[in-house]
Amino acid sequence: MSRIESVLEHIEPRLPAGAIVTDETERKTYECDGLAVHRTVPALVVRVTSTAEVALAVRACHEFDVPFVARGSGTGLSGGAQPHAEGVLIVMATMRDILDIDLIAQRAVVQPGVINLDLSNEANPDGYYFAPDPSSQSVCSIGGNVAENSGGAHCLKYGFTTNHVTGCTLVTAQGEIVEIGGQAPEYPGYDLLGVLCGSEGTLGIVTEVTVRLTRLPEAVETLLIGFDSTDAAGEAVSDIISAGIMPAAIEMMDALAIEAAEKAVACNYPEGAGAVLVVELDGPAIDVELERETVIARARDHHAGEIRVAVDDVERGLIWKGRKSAFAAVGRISPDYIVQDGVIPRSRLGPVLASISTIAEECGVRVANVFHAGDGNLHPLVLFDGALEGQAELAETASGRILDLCLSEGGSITGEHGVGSDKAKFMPRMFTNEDLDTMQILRCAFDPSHLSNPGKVFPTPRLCGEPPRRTSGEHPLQTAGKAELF
Amino acid sequence: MTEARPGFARPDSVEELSELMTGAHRDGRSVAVCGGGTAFDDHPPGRTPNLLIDMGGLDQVIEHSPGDLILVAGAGAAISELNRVAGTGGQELLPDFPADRTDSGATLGGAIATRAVGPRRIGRLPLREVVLGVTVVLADGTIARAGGKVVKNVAGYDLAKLMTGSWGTLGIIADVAIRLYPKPQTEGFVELPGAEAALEVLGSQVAPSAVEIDRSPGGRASAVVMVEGLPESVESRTARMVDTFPGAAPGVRPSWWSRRAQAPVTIRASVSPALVPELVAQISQLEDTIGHPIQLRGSAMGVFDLGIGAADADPTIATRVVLEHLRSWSRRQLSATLLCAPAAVWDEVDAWGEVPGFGLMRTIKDQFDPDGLLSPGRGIGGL
Ligand SMILES: Cc1cc2nc3c(=O)[nH]c(=O)nc-3n(C[C@H](O)[C@H](O)[C@H](O)COP(=O)(O)OP(=O)(O)OC[C@H]3O[C@@H](n4cnc5c(N)ncnc54)[C@H](O)[C@@H]3O)c2cc1C
Ligand SMILES: Cc1cc2nc3c(=O)[nH]c(=O)nc-3n(C[C@H](O)[C@H](O)[C@H](O)COP(=O)(O)OP(=O)(O)OC[C@H]3O[C@@H](n4cnc5c(N)ncnc54)[C@H](O)[C@@H]3O)c2cc1C
Repeated sequence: MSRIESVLEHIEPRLPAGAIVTDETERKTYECDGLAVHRTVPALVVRVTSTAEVALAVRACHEFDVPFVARGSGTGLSGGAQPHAEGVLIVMATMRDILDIDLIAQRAVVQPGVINLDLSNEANPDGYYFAPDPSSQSVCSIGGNVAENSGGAHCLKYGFTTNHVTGCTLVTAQGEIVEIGGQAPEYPGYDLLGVLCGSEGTLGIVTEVTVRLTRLPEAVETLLIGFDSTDAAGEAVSDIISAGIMPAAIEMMDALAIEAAEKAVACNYPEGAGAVLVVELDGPAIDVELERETVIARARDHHAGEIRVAVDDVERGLIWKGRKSAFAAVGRISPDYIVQDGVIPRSRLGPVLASISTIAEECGVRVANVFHAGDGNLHPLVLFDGALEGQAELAETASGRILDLCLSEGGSITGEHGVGSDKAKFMPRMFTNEDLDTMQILRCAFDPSHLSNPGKVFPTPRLCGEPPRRTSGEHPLQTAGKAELF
Repeated sequence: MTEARPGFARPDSVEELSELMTGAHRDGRSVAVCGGGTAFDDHPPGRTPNLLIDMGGLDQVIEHSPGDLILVAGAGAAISELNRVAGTGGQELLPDFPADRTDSGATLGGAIATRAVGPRRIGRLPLREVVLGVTVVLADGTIARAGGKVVKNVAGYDLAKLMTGSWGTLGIIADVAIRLYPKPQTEGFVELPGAEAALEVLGSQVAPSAVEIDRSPGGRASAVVMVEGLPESVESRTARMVDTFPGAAPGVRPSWWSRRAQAPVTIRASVSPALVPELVAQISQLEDTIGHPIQLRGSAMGVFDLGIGAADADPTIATRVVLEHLRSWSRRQLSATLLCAPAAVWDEVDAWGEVPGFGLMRTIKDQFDPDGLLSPGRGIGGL
């Protein structure tokens, strides 16, 4: 009997009918996440409805040494939920209950499959919302948000998912159920929640999450500002931040991205603009009003063209529509595209965008830029036509060079889409072997057998049980005065 | 194996720090670090290490980029100096430190190792969230970096968060990249009667930076709200609070602001915000039960320090009773631990209670420091 058959034999009698998917066609529907270039059909799919069921499945995997992968809504953009060919895919989307909302405590307890926006919709009538707002919020799961430490347009001011999680239930890679944190703001000891957030499913499976709810702001104002160039827009962003203003969001789109959005959703952005900024201010009404004047003044300093202030939710929706549709919209101007995700220090926006166009030219591809300008999180969209010989490779090259560029500026290979299977190969460019080994030490504490989402994040996992030791140090520091008694 | 007197070392670079650690590791010598030495009374005193490393040599400002709201500095840099540097760009860092701490030389590394927090935890992202990246030296001398120096970054595990609040038990923080905040132009204060009003402000549109509750022994609790921002805004929001909340009055920064209760024993109680009024209300009952005064101070968000006992009485039993009473609440809603106490008390009470996830913490410690050489006895639950 194969290992996967052993798992099946063990869990089948203990799970409700319909929980286990063995049919190949149906398993195939889970072969990839939002990054469809990486595909693997899982050996077995289990749709779980409770912590106990997750623990049962994981324990069986542990016993028979079978890898497992958690899947939320499958919207990830780095192949994080890509299944393992000899493993079990554990589908969390079926754990979709909001268990408790306590407005006085400003907390909600949810199952991990709950859709991000559903929680906000539930809390909105009482004046609260769940602050992390990835653009995919109408479909992605809160469990996925935790695993990816997702942010959204508003994380500049409100922080990422990690700042909004106060507790969780974790099923460890050995199938143990561990409660971490709770409703209180802080718990003693190591920051387990801090390392779980953003661990991309490699430290176990989260089966319940306690999150903070945030008070809806009294006032929100959204501005759409046209500029001649991305340079001018970038300088305006720096000036706004230097003025001491912390907008809820500052998003930028360049001419090509505007063109795409215009074709797709007719968002009616300023004509002929080389770049637009979407700036959102929120907070007490008086602050928003004062800040709006500063933002407008700083934009004018950089020769802003049209400045449009949304007067109501409908106009606000229109402004955001162009921005939010941008990824999909480039499909209108190019048959294929790669969504890149890299981070640079914000003050380097101008030079970096210039270098990106040089890279694009050299590789013979077009690049549209849509991004979170406030925190320097770029999303270059590398456009290409896969039907043309060699174009896909050129696009890959351009995309990789953009990441190298981010690193050379002291930035990061991912600001929000995660490493997954897609970017594991780039990790050694950002981190040394020692850095990666140190992360593996943590991994070994949670998952010594490497069964939880193996093959993701790290290019070459180290075996556990033999913590890395430095062999150097034959000549310890003995300089007089530096190390007494040594 | 513990010596009466530890050796001292003062490395001037990360490489020197690493060499020291490699040597200590090879010889099986235990190591502790000293930043400003201002938190030596917090947490159990721990065992005397074989080697005490003074971080004072690692105090350089490595990078300051006001346009990016970023400061990168050696872990031994003094908070006061870093605040001065940040101030040159109209910004601030870790702004809530009481003056006596910064005057005594509290360091960036010490603040992170102890996860220092102050009143403005409501209006700001918490410390763990503004520590963007760290370089750490592990027990065996390995130099490892995690995170980065950009505000957004999800590449790899967030070891910077793991180091935040680890009390020197997982590795030595060598340098840190931290996010700065624009310095607000003005601040305003409003006094409120009691904990319920404090909670109402939290749920209101006032957008406070801090809501602190203070209750002197035997007295009634009062709350002070702090708002920050542009002068017109601060004026308008303070006026609105005075109009809206019964009993509210314009105030000034109280003398106790950002200072912890001063008492022989301090207990940290972290509680779901919904239970804050109940916790505050129970203090006088607790005082009656233990026959000792209790000073309560902390954030309406749910983190309080309880100062217990008078200088001339043994606080052991009182401490035990208070801890046990608090722990009778559900663990999901409250955690109570000993923060600061005379050495004898640490040995006589259950300082930590049942810590959620402790098993995993133990394993993490064993993986990072298998020989138990780092800050022995300083972590929670003997980690
Ligand atoms: C159009 C579009 C826009 C997007 N915009 C943003 C954005 O603005 N900001 C942003 O941050 N991201 C964005 N994303 C990426 C993606 O939506 C987020 O990463 C999201 O959080 C993934 O959630 P999911 O439920 O789809 O997770 P999945 O894709 O199913 O899984 C993602 C990872 O999480 C793990 N995982 C899932 N559930 C659990 C669990 N319960 N326990 C442990 N591990 C688990 C998986 O193993 C996998 O590694 C976008 C994606 C798309 C398609
Ligand atoms: C509002 C407020 C009020 C406070 N009130 C008090 C109070 O009343 N009493 C009090 O004791 N504290 C108080 N603190 C905490 C205060 O912040 C600490 O005293 C200070 O942060 C410690 O810094 P230090 O450099 O003096 O650390 P040290 O005292 O030198 O070290 C503290 C601990 O951190 C570890 N450590 C130091 N540097 C490093 C490093 N580079 N790497 C790894 N580990 C390291 C040490 O091993 C030690 O265990 C308060 C903080 C705030 C914000």
